[in-house]
Amino acid sequence: MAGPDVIVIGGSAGGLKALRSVLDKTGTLGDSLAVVVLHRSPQESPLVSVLQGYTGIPVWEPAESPWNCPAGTITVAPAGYHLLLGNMRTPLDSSSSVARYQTGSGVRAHLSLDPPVAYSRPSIDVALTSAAELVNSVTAVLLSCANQDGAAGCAAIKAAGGRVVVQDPATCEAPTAVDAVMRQLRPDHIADPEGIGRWLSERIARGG
Amino acid sequence: MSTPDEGSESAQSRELTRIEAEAFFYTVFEHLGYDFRHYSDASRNRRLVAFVERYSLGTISEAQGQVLRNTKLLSAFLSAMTVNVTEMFRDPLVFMKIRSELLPRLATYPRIRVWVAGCATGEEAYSVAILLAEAGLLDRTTIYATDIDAESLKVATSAIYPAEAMITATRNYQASGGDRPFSDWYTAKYDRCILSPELRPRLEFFSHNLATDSAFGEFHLILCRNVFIYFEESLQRRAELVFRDSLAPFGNLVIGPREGLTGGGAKLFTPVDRKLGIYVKNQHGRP
Repeated sequence: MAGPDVIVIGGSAGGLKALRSVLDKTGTLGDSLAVVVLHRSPQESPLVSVLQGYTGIPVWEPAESPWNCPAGTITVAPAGYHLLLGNMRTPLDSSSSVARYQTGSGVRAHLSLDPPVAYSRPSIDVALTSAAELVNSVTAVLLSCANQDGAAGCAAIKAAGGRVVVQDPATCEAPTAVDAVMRQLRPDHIADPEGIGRWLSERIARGG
Repeated sequence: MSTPDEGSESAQSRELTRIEAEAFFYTVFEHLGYDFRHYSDASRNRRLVAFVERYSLGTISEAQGQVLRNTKLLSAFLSAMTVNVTEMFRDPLVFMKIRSELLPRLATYPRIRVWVAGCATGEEAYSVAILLAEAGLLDRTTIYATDIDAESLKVATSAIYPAEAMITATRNYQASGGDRPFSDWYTAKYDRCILSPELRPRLEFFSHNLATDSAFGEFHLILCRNVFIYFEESLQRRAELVFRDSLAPFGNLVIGPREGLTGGGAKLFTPVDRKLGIYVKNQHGRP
């Protein structure tokens, strides 16, 4: 019941530029799936088409919620909503059972209008904290980010047995979140965006 | 996550949380009638865990007994489960379209009935009221705005919002094609604003639960935005049928821009503008 490996990438100021370099070196996602959470203004913006211009990997935002995240694709948190991750859930026939659903290893994205976290909606912490509950193997990638959003989420991923990769603070336009992570835990990998892309593509090539 | 050694303990704790949450919502439904069993799990469970932490209730299982027996705690729980933080005229293009395409049809009715389902703290209901007022239709309209959370309905009934909310509201209002000074619609005092007294008498706020209650009237327009994002398909299907039963012929249903209809729902309603979430009731739609 392993399901697809999940890569959650977060960032804010300078994050988009870094993400472009990461994607440039990543190439393909294989059986993994990626979720991108960038701080953005609540108005609709062309982020998906911008990202699609950077990569051949299919990129989309959830058109509804819950939303199945297929392997080999990138799901982007839409403007003005939190994005949470959860596992597939199928209704059970038995009407007598307390548990009405069975959990699978596929991954779904859920949108919510819960209050902003660290002034942000979408929030990286919200996405990562929910990802820490997945049965799947999860890698958190934290890029340049101007506030601490993402640090608590990385800690949750680490505590749940996942991996944490951060952008080398020296290459961050805004190292606030990465600095906060490094005060709390030892990341599995620290690199510039290109290095993160290469690290990811090696792992993907090895199948996790 | 699946890494065997360091992960196994946390895998067990995740599995326990999941089971406790399912049991919690089952018991709340059996004993109190509030049905969250078919809400989608990730956002629902996050809200439950946040509630349990905020009130220091221990584990989800420990919280269960207290929520069942303590009505104050139950009401706090219902608020925690339904916190939508939204703003007036959110998604301005939707309101622009309502103004230009839906209001002219509404204007043909001698009495106009609107239902805002899942109204939370009322921002959306008042936004529609302002559109109707500016079109000269509000005095023959009743807007029924419903939610399951009594605390949210109290805020909605008061028509009082934080002053800074009016900054976003003004920007959205203008982007929706509003051409009056938005300050006509509220009075500011200290750090709060109260919406115009012209609006409030045309709105009725009361409790209604899309998971358990049925249709309660016939409406020309139903807004239910950012509610389906929390529902599993079976629950959304139920709500779609309630809306079908509640809409007059040619009535419109407006859902959120990040929401779609179920396969069955697509037989009940035809898109007017799918991207904006605007639909019209089919005349011969059968489930």
